[in-house]
Amino acid sequence: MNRDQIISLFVAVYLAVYASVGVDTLRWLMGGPVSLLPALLVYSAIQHPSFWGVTIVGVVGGLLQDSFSSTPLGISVAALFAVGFTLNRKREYVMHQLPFARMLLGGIVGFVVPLLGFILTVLTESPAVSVPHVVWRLFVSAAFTAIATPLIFRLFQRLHRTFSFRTICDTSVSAKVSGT
Amino acid sequence: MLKKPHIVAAGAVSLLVILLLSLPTGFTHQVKRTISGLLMPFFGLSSAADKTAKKAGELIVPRSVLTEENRKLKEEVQQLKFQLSHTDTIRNENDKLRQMIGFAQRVPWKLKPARIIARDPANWWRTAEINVGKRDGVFVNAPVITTHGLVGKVVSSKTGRSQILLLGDANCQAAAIVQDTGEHGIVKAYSADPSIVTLTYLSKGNNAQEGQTVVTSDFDLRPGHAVASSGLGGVFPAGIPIGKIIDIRNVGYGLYLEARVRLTVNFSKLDKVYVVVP
Repeated sequence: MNRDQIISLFVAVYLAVYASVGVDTLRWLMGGPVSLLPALLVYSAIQHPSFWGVTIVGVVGGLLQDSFSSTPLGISVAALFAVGFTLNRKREYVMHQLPFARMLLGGIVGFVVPLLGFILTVLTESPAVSVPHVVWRLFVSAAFTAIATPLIFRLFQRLHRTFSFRTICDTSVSAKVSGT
Repeated sequence: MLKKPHIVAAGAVSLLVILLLSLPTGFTHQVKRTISGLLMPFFGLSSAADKTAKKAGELIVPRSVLTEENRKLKEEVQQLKFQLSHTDTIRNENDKLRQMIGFAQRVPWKLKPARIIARDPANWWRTAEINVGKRDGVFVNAPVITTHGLVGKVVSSKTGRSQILLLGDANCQAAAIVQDTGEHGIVKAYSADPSIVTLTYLSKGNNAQEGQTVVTSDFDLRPGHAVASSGLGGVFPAGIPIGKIIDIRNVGYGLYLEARVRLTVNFSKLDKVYVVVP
């Protein structure tokens, strides 16, 4: 990962947490809190072969998210990093080129990350929630992450095209146009 | 080992998680406040954007609408002034009577207006951040209300912001009274629906029988009865509306009653609140 990629990932994590705690419209549309961090986790685990991407999303995102919540500090870090790290290590075996595959992957991660977070929370605290409510929220999170994941990939690809250097190659067409 | 940096990273993150989970609660609150402070500039920006949008909206409201609204507000002010003078008379009378029988005088509430700036990102908790803190006189356990009723209490307070626990969270309980019957109970979380709480430990509404050991009252609880804070417990002042009873059932092998109460405050639309400060 180069410096620009690290900075853009930091900014994206920062904005993702802000969106989940401070943007009421998103919460109102989805009928409750949703997070963009699982979608960012899929992107960083698949797109960056090194583990730095998932470490940034897991640690920074998890800490920021837990700091606004009654969840014990570190629970989201554990859930995000465990899923991201596994996905990163096994990314060669996961189909991820097609938008549909990314959507499916996002849906699975969007379900597993909050589920793992909930299991860890229940082991340490006792929140007042019913099982149907938890299951419903997990499906909402999965659906939201499934939609958001391909969009995150496209956004970062566009950012990459805009801000990074591209190799200039002389094709026969460009040579004709320039008259060389 | 350093040839496998992913193992080092996994080990470091695992250690960090174990360390964070084993921190004392008070210190964890401080760490949380410090970390969440990193996002505060964004909340300032969004607040400024909100104000700008509202100002832009004000520019396009037709004059006729404003005139009509102004007329209605003037009428409302007149009515409220009349009610206020009536309330003042009753308050003075109440104060005199309290003085005569040696009751302590009621301490008037001071309300600190606040705005919700962030909400809990997890689905299993009901907390929020407000934009007032220690410098505004807000302290831990201060009650939080709206014009519709009780919202919750402050759980941690920093210089310019505080975290509030909403009614219905597993860690927020309140002593309450059914205003129509005078029954006392405790408001607890109801897990299936965030807009509902459970009012429990209510005595049964039958006439006492000879030799009966179960506490009973002569009043029947019914759906629609209003529930308010009772003032017991010392956290919430008495008389703040909480909600209305939906239904009642027998619990504890018939020893007492439990009622489901729909909250008067809609937490999903919560924007402006008031903190009761001394």
